[in-house]
Amino acid sequence: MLANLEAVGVSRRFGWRWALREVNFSLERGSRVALLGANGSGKTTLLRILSGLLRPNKGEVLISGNPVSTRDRARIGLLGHDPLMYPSLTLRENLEFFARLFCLPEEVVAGRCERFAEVLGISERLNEPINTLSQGLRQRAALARAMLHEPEFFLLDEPFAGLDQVAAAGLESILRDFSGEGRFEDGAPRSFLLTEHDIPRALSLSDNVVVLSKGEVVLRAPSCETSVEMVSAALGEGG
Amino acid sequence: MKFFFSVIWAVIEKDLRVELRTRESLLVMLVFALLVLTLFSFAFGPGLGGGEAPIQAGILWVAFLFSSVIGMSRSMGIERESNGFSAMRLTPADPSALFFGKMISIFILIAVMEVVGFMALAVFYRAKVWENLGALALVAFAATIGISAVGTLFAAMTARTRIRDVLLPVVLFPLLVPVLIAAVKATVAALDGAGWADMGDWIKMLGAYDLIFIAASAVTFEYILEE
Repeated sequence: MLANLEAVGVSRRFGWRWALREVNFSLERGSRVALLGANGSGKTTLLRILSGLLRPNKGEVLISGNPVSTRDRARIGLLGHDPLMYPSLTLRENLEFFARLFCLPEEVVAGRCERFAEVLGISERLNEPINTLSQGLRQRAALARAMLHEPEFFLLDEPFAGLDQVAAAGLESILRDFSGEGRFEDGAPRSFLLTEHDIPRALSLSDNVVVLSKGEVVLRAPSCETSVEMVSAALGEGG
Repeated sequence: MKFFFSVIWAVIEKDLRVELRTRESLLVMLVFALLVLTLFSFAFGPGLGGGEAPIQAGILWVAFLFSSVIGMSRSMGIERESNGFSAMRLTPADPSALFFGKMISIFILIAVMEVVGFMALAVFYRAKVWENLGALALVAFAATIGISAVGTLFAAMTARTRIRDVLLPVVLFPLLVPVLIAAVKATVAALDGAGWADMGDWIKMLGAYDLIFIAASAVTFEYILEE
């Protein structure tokens, strides 16, 4: 059985407002899912719950059928709106710090930092403090942090935000490689859940699409059978 | 177990590295502690010498407490600004290891400030610091562990609130009253050159306080990391 990351009947409330209502969702290993929705539809909340940053008020998150334990967090990588790095430390120091929190063996840490920095085109910036990097470079640095422990499930919250066209094209090619073999040391394909406002890009990058509106799933379909109009209509219906 | 200690060391190393780069905590702590000690020495005059150990100890520990709060608040401010706690929560690191890492790095900052504070006490107040260095070091060690443990927990707890700078001392100082009392009494005994018989009970009290709050803080730290 393939490992999967599931949200089962997940609801989350902020004050009196429900950000998510009874959401059921599954991310299977090797799959690529685009999560679409207008601002405030609950996309980021769902990603934060799946990553373990937030607890749901109702429902639960399972990984391979079991509740996510502290140890299971090594199987998930989150790229959020914030780089989640220490601005006064260099990129290398940040990556080495998080590598140690992920219990990576000392002998592989340096190699991983160099490899992912090279893949993301930031190897020349490894020794520069994060607060000296541009927005686009910080985004790539954050992706390097999320990739460092080679998780099975990537949760990518608007990864193209703030990137120029060249950087966005580079990131697209990296994401297309995620579910292929050979990008990661164990050779196994990775799955990702991606939130994105650019509907054509989201459809082209994913195998399946899920549309959220007002905290509820309003459309779930294979990307190849989904058009921009269908997504727009689903967003419109929900709104 | 090796992973547990590796996480503790990683957090300490990261915190000290950030402090070396930014110099945001220690410098302010040192200046504040020295200012309080200097101002009180002006207020009481140079005559405050032998036989005044209770006043010296009281001034010293109040200065240390205020200065520690500034340091803890700044240390957690760095975590808040970089969303460090969220980043740590995404890892499989044991939350209690993260707590010990933060606690020890705060302990180191406070200890450095205290060394300078004791030197200032010897100079400005002519206190018998050098003659009783061993006993004073023991008192400072036991008290600083308690301050760091409770302070780390509550500084992390208040770090995400809007009124954190006001809230932290309001929440923290009542909890640190036992540490203040025991530290002052034990410091008086140490400065007077009294033996273990006079300061032993206070040191034991500090030890018990340390154990209780380290255990409670390590267990509850996980919930503080949550958003």
